Amino acid sequence: MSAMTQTPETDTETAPAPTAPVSSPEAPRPRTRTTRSAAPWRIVAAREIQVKLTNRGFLVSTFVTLALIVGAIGLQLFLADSMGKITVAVVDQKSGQIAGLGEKLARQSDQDVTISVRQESSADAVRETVRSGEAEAGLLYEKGGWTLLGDTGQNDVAATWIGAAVQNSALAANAQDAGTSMEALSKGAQLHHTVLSTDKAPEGAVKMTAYFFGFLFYLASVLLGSALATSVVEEKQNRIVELIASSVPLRALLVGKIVGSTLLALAQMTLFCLVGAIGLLATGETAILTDVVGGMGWFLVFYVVGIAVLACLYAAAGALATRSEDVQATTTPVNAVTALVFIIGIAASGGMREILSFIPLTSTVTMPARVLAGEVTWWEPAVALALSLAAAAAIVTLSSRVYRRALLQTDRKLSFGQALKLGD
Amino acid sequence: MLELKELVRDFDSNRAVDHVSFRVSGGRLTGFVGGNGAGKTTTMRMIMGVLAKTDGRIHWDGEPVTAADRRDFGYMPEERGLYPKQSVLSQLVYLARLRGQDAAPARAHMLELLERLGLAEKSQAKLESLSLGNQQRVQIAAALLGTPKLLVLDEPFSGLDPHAVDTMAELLREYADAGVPVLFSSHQLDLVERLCDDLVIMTRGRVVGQGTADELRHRDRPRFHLVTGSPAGWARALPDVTDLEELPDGARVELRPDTDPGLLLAEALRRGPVHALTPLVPSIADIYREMTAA
Repeated sequence: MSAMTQTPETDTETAPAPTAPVSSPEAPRPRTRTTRSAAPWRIVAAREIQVKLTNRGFLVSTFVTLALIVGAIGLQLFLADSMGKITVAVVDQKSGQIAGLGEKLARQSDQDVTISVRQESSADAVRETVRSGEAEAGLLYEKGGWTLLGDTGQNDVAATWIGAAVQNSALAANAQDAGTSMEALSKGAQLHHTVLSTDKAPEGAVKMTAYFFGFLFYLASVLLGSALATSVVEEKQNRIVELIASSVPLRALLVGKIVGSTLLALAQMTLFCLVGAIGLLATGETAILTDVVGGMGWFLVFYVVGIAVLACLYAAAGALATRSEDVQATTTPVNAVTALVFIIGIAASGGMREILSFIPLTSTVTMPARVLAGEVTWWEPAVALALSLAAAAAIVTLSSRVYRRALLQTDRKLSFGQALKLGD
Repeated sequence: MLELKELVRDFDSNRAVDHVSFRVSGGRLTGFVGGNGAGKTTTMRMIMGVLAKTDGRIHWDGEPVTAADRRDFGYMPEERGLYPKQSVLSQLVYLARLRGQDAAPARAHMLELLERLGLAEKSQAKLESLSLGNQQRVQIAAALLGTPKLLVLDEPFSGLDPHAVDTMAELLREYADAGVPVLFSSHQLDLVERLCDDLVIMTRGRVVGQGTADELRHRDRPRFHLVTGSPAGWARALPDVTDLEELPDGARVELRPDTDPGLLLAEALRRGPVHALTPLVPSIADIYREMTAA
C-alpha cells in the first residue's frame, strides 16, 4: 500500500517533527488537575462573554442601537426647539400686540414659546407670506373679528397661544365696556384639583414606565434571542458538542451560555438606559425620568428574571435546530411570545392584568406595573418572582434534555415533542 | 483498565450493540475494527457517556465508570469539529478547563503538544484559516488534553495526511508505552496490523473475535506452503491433513490443530527433495474478512 506517498499540502504548514519526544507521556508531567477548579458553567459563561465582546456583529449592533438612541434624543431636542419658535405675519400694530401677548401667556404657563412678528403691507401680502411658508401663521383683524391663517393646516402653538391672547384681550375690553374688571368676571370660574392617593403613581406614569420596560424587554429579546439560539446550535453544527458532552453535563453548558448571554444583554440595556437618561437630562425632560425612576426597582428585578426565562426559551429553541439556518424557524414561537409580552404588558389592565402578572414572562411587565400602581400586597410580587424562577429552572432542565437527545440527531431539525421522545 | 461487560444499546427496536464485552488493558494498543454500522461508534459513545447504555456495565479499574473518570479520558469523536472562528490555542485551553484543568498548565501543555504536531506557529490562528490537514492535527491535540488515563479514538487516522498518520501512530505508541490503555477504531487494517497489540472485531453489533493479533492469527488450523518442485496431491492421504490445495510446485496444506508439521516434512522428504515448508500466517485483513463474512 502506498500510504507513504506525499500528498501536496494546501498551505505552508510545516511537517511535524515526529521524532521529538517533547510531550512523552512517560515523563511525569505536573498534574494539571486542581483539587477544585471553577464550575464548568462559569467557564462556559466567561467564554461566551469573551467571544461576544470580540464579535464584530455584536459590537456593531450595540453601536448602531446607541446611535439610534442618541439620534432620537437629538431629533426630539431639535423638534422641541423648533416647534416652540414661530413667525406670525401681521398687517397692523394691534395684531402685533396680540402676538406679543400670546408669547407672554405661554411663558407664564412655563412653555418655551417664541413668537416673532413679521410686518406686511397688506392682508394679501400676509396671505402670500403664509402660503410661501416664510411665516407659520398670519393674524388679521377684518370686519371686527380676528382670523388666524395657516397654510395647509393650523399651527398648534399659534392656535393655542394667540387664541388665548385674543380671548384674553377681548374679555378685558368687554369687561371694561361693561364697567367691571377681569377679576370680577372670572370670579368663581377657577377649578381646584386635589389628588386623593398621592402615594400611588399616576396612571399615566404607570403606563409610561410599563411601556418603557416593555419596549426594553422586546429590544433585549431581539438582540439576545437569536444570537443565543445561534450560539447553541453552532456547537451542535460544528460537532464540538460531542467533545464537550464527554467533559461536562450539557446542563452546565446551557446554563453557562444562558448566564453569559443574560449578563451581556443586561450590560447592553444598562448602557442604553444610561445614554437615554443622560439624553433626557440634557433635553430637560426630567419629568419622564422621575416617573420612570419611581418604578425602576421592581421593574429591574422582574426584568432580570424575565430575561433569564426568555434566554432559557431561546436556548431550548436553538437546541432543536440542526443548522444555524433552522434557528429562524425554531425561534419563531419564542419571538411571538416576546412580542405578546410587550403588547399585553402595555395594553392589559384590571382583572386581566392581575392574572397575567402571575404568569412567567407576562409578569415581567405587568407585575411591576401593578406594584407601581399600588394595587398589590407584598406577597404578590414575591409569588410571581418565585413562579418565574421555577419556570426558568424547568425550562433549563427540559431544554438540556432536549439538547442531549437532539445532540446526535444531526441529520434533521426536530420538534420539541420529537426531541423529548428520543432516548438518551 | 477499561472493561465492558454485556453492553447493550437499542435504538427503538433496532439493537445496535448486542452484549458486547471486551477489555482495553493498560500499556496496550487495542484496535477496534468492523464494517460501517457494526456498532463501534455507538460503543465508544457509551464509553464516553455521550450516549446512555440500554444495559450492561462499563468498568474503569474495576469500578463502574464515573463522570469524573471520564473527564480524564481523551476522546476523539467520529464527527470531528471545533470552533472555526476561535484561535487554536484558546479553544484547546477552553476544552482543557472544562475537563477541570487550570488554565496556565493546560496552556503550557497544549503549546508543547502543538509544537509536537508542527502547529506551534499556528497557535494564535483561527481554526478556519488552517488547512484541512492541520485542522485534523488540532483535533488530535483536543483528544490529548491534560494527562489522559485512557484514550478512546474513533477513526483517528481517517482524513490524516501521511505525515500526520505517522505522528498519530507514534503518539499512540508513546501513550500505550506509558501505560495508558488506548482504544481506537479504524478501517485501515494494514495500520491496525502494524500498530495493535490487541484486536476487537465487531460485526452487526456483536464481538466476533478478540485477543492479541497473534492469538487471532493462530486460533485456526495451521496452514503450510509445501514446495517440492512438483504437484504434491499425495499429502491428501495423510491422516492429519484436513484440507489441501494442489499447486504446480507443491501444495497448500491445512493440518489438524496441535499436529506436528514434522510428520508432513518427513513424508515429503521420503518422497523426494523438499525446497521449503513455510507456515502461512493470515493477515489481519484475512482474519477480519473471514470473521465478518459469516
